[in-house]
Amino acid sequence: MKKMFVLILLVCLSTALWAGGGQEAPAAEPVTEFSIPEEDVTLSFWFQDWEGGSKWTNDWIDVFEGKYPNITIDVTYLPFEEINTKLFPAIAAGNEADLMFFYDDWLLGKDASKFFGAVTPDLYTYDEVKAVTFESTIKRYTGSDGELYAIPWGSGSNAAGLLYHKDLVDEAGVDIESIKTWDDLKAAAKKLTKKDASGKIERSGVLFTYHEIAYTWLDMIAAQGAADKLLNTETGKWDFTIPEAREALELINSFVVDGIFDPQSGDPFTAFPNKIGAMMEVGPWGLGAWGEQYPDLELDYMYMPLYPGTTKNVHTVASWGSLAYSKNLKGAEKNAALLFLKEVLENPKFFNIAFEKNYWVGTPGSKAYLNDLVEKVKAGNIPSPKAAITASFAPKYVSNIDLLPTKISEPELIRATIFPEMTALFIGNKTIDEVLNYLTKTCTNLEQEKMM
Amino acid sequence: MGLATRGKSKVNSYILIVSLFVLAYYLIITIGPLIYNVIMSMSKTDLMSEWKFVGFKNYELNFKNEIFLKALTHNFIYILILVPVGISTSLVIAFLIYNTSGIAKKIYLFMFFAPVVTSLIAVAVIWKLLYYPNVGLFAKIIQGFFHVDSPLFLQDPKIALLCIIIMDIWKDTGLRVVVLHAGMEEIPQSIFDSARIDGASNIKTFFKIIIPSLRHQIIFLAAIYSINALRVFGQVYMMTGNPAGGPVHSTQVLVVRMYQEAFLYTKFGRGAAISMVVFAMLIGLVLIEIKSFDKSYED
Repeated sequence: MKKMFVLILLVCLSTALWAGGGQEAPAAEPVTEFSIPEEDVTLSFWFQDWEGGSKWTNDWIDVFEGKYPNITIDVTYLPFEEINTKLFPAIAAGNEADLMFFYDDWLLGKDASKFFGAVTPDLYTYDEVKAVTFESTIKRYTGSDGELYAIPWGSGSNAAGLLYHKDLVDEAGVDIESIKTWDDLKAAAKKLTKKDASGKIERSGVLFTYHEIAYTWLDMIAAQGAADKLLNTETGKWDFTIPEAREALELINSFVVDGIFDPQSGDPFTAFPNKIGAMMEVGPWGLGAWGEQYPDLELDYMYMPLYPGTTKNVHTVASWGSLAYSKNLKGAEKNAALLFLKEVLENPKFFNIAFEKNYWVGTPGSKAYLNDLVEKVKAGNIPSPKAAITASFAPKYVSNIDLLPTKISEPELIRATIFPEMTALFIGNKTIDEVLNYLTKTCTNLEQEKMM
Repeated sequence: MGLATRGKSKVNSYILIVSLFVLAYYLIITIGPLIYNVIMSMSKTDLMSEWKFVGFKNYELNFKNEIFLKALTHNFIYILILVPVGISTSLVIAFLIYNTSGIAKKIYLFMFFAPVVTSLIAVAVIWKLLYYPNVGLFAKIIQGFFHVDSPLFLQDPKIALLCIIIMDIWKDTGLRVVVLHAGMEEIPQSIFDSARIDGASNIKTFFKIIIPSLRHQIIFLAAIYSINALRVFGQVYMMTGNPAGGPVHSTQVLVVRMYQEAFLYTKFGRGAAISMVVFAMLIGLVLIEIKSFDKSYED
């Protein structure tokens, strides 16, 4: 009896171990010719939840379903943090949505072919996609087999510049067009700063409370030509103690030291709309997001001024919203998913919705569309104020992208590592030396861990 | 084989079969995933593109990581403040309520218990607004009544964790009060009468009679809330969630760290290793609790 009991126990344990084991990779699917499906197909779609984005997506789905009435797109809107933490575990468990929105820098250091279904060669050749979009994004979802596993949707263009309250800027007599360098920015921000009788900041001239200031710091280092000194890709060693990094951080911190930025003015998503800061360093997506959420605010956007002594901005951590489909899809469902991606990339109506209805500001994933938009705006045919802003900064943004070849994902490098250290400096918890040394050690450990 | 023996054998077989279903369920739902987690904690994996056995490397990397060590320290701080302050304040409140009677007693118990049954997320969001620097209710009260600059609460790395602990103490005070109050009601009235005859004051009664009589309840609450303090997540994530872990990682705790490592950075091995550390600490706490219970019953 006892032996039988032990034997049954062992069987149950083995079953539990086997049941808890990882999934086998699906068998490789033979390459098939893409065709427009004729059967009725329903595809689930996970998209990021923000006011303008959800309106845009709903309108686009109406257009798509109107063109292909046999295909239904069932969209679920997820907050950014939820998409971030839900996507990969869902893919690992095999219960991801058929279509997925994500940010390409989440794939840093990973093989895209293990995550999503192939876009090339089934739908396009690699060169065809390369011709219509921007290389900085397609690099990240090129799999180990050289094929593409997603398409670019668009970039919120993090750290491309500064959002500002037009009414406050006008009230202070600041001429935004005259801000060409960070020295000019500091002078303007000083005018915009409001203090109470005791000298305490009531309204910061500019807010650096959002993590994109960490992108800007890296961009400043690269603009000084020191990207290679910052990160050695062969050894995985970071070095923040280089003079270029120190000087750039000192410049940013001088806004705190000189009483222009209050680093403890609260959550930027509350502080900026409530005018606790006159300007905020953030991507133009902020104009789209806050513009929709707070329609009474008079907001505008300016491209990033130059670091003193440099002639060009550099964007080292560009993040592209991207679309992919589940690698579990087959047959008509797979073709429907590919068709959806094709329409997003090729159909101008997709971005027309965003710009004509004023839903979004950012860099479109389609090169052709952006060029067309720039020409339209030059000719005075402005679809909307947000379209005009996109036309003014996006060409500069994409031409200045020069990605840092790090394998550390953006959430870990920027949000969890660099930005908290910058905050520690701003609030006086750490000295610059302590910050630079800590980041050198920590980022090196993270980079070398990725190389393990 | 006699009839009695055959009958007994049938019952034994029946018990075995029924137990096996329960055991199989327990193995599949609890033990199996635990073993899987142990294996994952010794691997470098994102569950999709790689799975490499690395031994105890994840544990080594965690214990060398400044943020993990900060999280560990914060969990201990959480226990050291939540448990004694929570229980002592609840003791005092329970004693005061014990000394009331009639409808007032019921009203007080209801008032203190109301936050217990309120959703933690809702409470955390409201307290986050209350704590808002300069414009939140607490800031306005401090500025208005005391005419000094209010603290920055959740924006100040020095006190952010304390602010969360205060909210946590407030939220569950009612539950502790109800448990302790029920314990007080069990104390025989004759003991209080004897104490009164001997001239004992209320304070002496509280320290010499009530607290020793409530030993079991106090140990129970200490154990439960120590475990809660080790597993804290919702409060920290909701109140200091942008970024999670608060300004300069000042509210970072182990479960939040585990969540970030596993789901944000897709380092499931590192996350699993943190979960095993939490598991080991919880086992330790439970064993201490069991021993304390046994000792107090022996006494």
